[in-house]
Amino acid sequence: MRISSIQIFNIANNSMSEANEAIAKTQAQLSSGQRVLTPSDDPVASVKILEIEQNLARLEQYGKNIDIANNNLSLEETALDSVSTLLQRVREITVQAGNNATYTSSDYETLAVEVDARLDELKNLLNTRNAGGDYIFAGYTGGDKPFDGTASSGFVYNGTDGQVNIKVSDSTSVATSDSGKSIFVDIPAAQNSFNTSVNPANTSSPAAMISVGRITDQDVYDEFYPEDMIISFGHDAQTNPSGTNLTIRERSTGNVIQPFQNAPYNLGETLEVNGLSFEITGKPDTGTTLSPATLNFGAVGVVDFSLPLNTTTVDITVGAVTETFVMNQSVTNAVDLANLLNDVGNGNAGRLANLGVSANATGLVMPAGVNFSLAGGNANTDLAFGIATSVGVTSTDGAIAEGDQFFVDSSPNQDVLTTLARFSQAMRDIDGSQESKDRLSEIVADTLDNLNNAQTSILETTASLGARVNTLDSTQQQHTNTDLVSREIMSELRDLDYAEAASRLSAQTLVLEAAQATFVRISQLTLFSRL
Amino acid sequence: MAGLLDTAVSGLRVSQSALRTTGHNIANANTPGYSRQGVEVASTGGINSGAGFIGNGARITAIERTVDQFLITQLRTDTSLASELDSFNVNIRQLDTLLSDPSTGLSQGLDKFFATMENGADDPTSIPSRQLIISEAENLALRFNTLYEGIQTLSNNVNQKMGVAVSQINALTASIAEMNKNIVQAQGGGDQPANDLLDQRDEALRRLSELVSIDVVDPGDGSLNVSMGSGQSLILGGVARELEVVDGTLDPQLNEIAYKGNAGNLVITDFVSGGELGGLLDFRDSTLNTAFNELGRVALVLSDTFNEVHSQGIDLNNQFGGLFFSDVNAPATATARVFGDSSNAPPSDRVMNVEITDTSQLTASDYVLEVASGDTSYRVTRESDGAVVFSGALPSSFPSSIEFDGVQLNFTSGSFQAGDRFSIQPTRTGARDIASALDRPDQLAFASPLVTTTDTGNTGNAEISAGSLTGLTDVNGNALPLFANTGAMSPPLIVQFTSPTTYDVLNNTDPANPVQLDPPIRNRTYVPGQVNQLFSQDPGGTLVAANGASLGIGAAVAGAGPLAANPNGYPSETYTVTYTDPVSGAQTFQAMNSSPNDSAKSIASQLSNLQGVTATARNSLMVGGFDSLTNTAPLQIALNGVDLVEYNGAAVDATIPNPATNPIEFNSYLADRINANPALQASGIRAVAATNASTGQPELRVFSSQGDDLNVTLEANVGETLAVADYNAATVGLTGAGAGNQETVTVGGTLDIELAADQVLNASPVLSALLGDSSAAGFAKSSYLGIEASINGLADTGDRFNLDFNTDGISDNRNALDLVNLSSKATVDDGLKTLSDSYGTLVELVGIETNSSTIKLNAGNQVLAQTENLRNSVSAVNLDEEAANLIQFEQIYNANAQVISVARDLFDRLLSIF
Repeated sequence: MRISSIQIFNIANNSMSEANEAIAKTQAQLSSGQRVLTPSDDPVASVKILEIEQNLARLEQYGKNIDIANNNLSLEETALDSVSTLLQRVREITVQAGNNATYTSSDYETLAVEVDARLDELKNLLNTRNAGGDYIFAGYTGGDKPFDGTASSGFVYNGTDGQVNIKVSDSTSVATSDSGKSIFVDIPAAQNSFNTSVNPANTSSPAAMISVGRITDQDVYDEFYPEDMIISFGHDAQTNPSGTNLTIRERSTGNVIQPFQNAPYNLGETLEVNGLSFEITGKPDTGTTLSPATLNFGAVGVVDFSLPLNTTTVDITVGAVTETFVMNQSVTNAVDLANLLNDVGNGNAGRLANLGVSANATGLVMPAGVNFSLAGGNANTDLAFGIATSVGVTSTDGAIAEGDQFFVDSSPNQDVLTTLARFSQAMRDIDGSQESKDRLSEIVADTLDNLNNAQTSILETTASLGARVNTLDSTQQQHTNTDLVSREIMSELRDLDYAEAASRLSAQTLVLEAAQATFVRISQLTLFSRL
Repeated sequence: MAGLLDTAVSGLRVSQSALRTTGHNIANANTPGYSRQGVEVASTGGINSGAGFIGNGARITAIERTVDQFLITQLRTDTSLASELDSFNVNIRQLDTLLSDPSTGLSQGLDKFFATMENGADDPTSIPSRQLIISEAENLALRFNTLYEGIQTLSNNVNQKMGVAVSQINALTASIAEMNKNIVQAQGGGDQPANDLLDQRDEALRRLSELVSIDVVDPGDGSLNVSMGSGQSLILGGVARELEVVDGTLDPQLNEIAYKGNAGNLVITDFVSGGELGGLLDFRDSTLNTAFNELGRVALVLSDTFNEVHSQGIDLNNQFGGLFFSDVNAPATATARVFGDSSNAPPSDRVMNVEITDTSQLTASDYVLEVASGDTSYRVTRESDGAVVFSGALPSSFPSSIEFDGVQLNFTSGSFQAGDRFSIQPTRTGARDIASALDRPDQLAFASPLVTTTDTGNTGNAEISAGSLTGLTDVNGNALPLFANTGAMSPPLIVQFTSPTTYDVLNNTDPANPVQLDPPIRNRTYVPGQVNQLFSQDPGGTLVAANGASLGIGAAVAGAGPLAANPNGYPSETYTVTYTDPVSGAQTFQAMNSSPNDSAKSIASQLSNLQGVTATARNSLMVGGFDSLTNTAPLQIALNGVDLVEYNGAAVDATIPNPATNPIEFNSYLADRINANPALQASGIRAVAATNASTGQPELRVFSSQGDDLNVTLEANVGETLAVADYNAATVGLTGAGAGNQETVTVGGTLDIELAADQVLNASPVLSALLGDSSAAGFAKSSYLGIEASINGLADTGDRFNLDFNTDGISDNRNALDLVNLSSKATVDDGLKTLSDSYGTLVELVGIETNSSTIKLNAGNQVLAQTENLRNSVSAVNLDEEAANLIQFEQIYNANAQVISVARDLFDRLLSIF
């Protein structure tokens, strides 16, 4: 085949440039250490490499997560340790209090002081904060102090249930917190117990409080258990003489627990109900009138003033108070009737004032909104009033908004702060009487049981912490292994085999040198140089 | 002599020309496209001298180039191909590097972002961690933007190169046309080829074929006609048609090639192939478009899913989370996704926009909406596979919208006409539009708005799950009431167990007095040992709370005892449940007939047999007004046939409290008797001795958890009365009429009927005596609250669980974990790929194309080199050969000169004789 001069040069050019290109590629690989420089070098491998890189990034992050989780769990464990130690000390005090029947009330006073100090210390421990300033036992509301309150206001847990989880692998999350409620509040009580609390919808400000209370007679309370009580403050006018009064009802049935039907109450006084005793302090809002109660003349029957009323009486009842009104005159119209009822001479006016009811030509009104009833009349008064006084009629339109409410809920659980508070209170209640000492020994037995239960609860949580730490460790190990394997695979796919690349480079260099040498040689061969 | 001289001179002339030609060849040895020329020599004729023909020397017949036309054509074809592959390869390699480079590629950006999110989830209260997330979100959005700009730059480069190529084509075609004219002129009518001009024209044609694939036709008059594609003429004789680059009519960003003409441009882009121009068009239409759309889709899915999950959490200020990334349906963005063909008939007042409704259904394809040219029907075609995704008629009233592939196209207003065309590009600019919308670290919504609490006073060991928010809007897009108020749950909920197997969920706004929800969740069955979901998860589910006029207490019936329980008086009715398939509109009907006097329990169980219907029945009554009774014979109160007053022989048992004086204890006595009766207990009937909240009088509350009819019979002395009220406070009085005479009344139960989505309950008669007015607007109310929670374990009567707003839940990281989980959730392409997968697919696609393009380019280059070699071996100059020719022709010249010298000597000799 005929070869033109151009071809000779082109062949040399092309092979040299190809050799250069190959060497440049090898050089790039050698200096970066990677076989796959761009995805086009090996598309299938690059996809796998991309996946593995993502995996490794995730594993690294999981490692950090595990570290954080470990930190949180060890902080919690330390706190629980301290609580446990503290409860040990209280246990010792309890045993001391139970064993020494010869202690005087001042000795018990001293013990109570120490228990109170321990109570404060325990509350602080329960409000432990982590390095970031969050409360570790508060559930989700880490910014708010979880345990608050005093014996006189009741102990309240302000946090939430719920645990914070941290993801430590694609399929595993580990809880890194426990809510204070599950460890310290939901502790099974030795005997049926109760919690006091304030209705969050109460309107008094500053809020009235209910004390943590104590069980004065376990047997009586056991009969009432598991019912809950609602204590509501009624309208001042619902009791006679008017004043602060409260009603205690069973929550589920609405039945009033006698004798607490609009019973007068002095704030701060000890209430004893169904074997429990507690105090309400502060200024609770009392009921307010929504609409006055009325009984209008002629509301239920015909009005006829023809029959005489002399020597008849009618009774008006408001709440627990009944007044008998003397109808010692005849009346010809409603105005007269009203005047008769307002008559000072026969005492009716005073009776009206006593009840808080007023009378006018339209009828009877109880402005305070308490429903009242009219009864004890006869056929004549029926006609004159136009109300069935002989049978008895009660107004229905009086409405009162209830005042503040407090809950006494029965509970099989008792939180550890309440246990300490009730124990301290029982010791302070020692007044030398045998009764108080007997009560104390009961309380001592209960407190020991409750403290045991508290320790058990703490132990359970500690065990759970331990299990979680184990999970973290084994997950960490798994990640380390996976990391190693992934890096190996990625290295196989991506990294350069230096031996192979070096020998390839020398082969390519050889090719280039050969091309260059031959070019020099051949280009010197021309006929013109021999002319 | 004369003859000899002439012969020698002719020989001289021939060798002179030959030498000149050889010299021309040597001079042009490296001229591109030069074909070596050779001299054709022939002898001149001979003169017949009688003794034979005496030759007269030599003459040149032609100087021709050594050229193989077939190879030249082949060379042009191979040049076009190699050039096309090269142009494609150069561009796609740039794209490949852009997408995969660690500093510009998206994978590393996504990894970093999600790692930072995990950090934040680990410590939700840490402000620095939150700040870091905000920075990383901005970085990620920036990375998207930068990638988009990089690809956009490539696109701009392509356009520019197209412009340059077209102007080069124009220059070449102009000069080739000029050459055509010159060649025709130069060759005149003669038959001598104008070699150099021909070479130059061939070279120009070869350069033209580098730019675009051409066909060359020889009409025989010396000029060459050039056309491309399927016959689009470029050069006809001496006339060249100019091309130019114009903005696309459908998509102004996509330039088109067109003939430059006076009467508008004729677009011929589809006919352009091969050469650099073909390579650019191929790259632009296939790979570049895919890159824009796939990247945009990842950006849209990321924005949308993050925004949705973020909006369901609450931040450090108890507010629901706002936008995490920019809104995918911001008005300006939505409008820019659709644009009309610039050749659509005026007036240009059409207003449309495209909103993304479901990012999981998005495809990475563009769409074209074409209105038929005859009528008002139109079709929407998906470009990737040509499938018609929607066809219909132009809307007659605005606004109107259609949905397809996760996208909603809104016709807002304007005059849409036959022949209109629109381009719809839902995902193209996704990577450009994405931006971070976060501002301050406390606005990151990491907590869930729902928190559940187990009441400490519970005696059972049931536990409630942490619960979560499942939705904030109902099926129509309206906000659900539960979280409609900022910072609070309206209303807070409480779960109360009325027995170990039944519970209610109540409105706990006043914890002392929880009330029923509307629609109510009451008397639900709880199965111990299973996880019991508390709330319906069906956004379209509804509940019918029966409130017909016939429900409840009937009339009292008196007569001589013993009286059978009178029927509840419920009429027979027909209930039809219609299911309408939301996609096809097909309807299925199920019907149920109740028999007259069916108990609520029976009706509920028959209704529950229908598909998509769950009915629960319950019943309750109150008995009061005991103080007119006396505890002497013949007093007897019976409940469902069970005598409650115990007798000791013929007299009432003395231990029974006297109802006239101790109504409260009598009440408790009756309750105890009912609760102790095994038959009543077995059918779920229980009683509670309570106090009427408004009168303060004792009342006996009897509950049937299964909805059985409750029947009370009284036998008492004349004038003694008993009041029986139902759950609607309708009261009937029973009056004693002496021994042997009884009066009885029955209370029928009521039902709650839960219907699944798209189910409608109709009653016949329409004003149902049991269910109420089935045509009324509020007959079936939505029962979807938008939250989920579950309880499992063993529950006791009176156990309570609270669900409330997670106020100040700053340590809660549930929503943060949900955000983190988006990295591994398959959110793209209908649940097939994760975000990283989707980007990885794009990188892989470009990588594979680059790889195969490189391989093809190598092959193309080899083929081109081979053809060039062939052509060179035929037509190119070999200097050695020319050197040999030089020597040869020089010798011939010398020889001929010598002949002239001899001729001169002969003549001299002849002259010297004289």
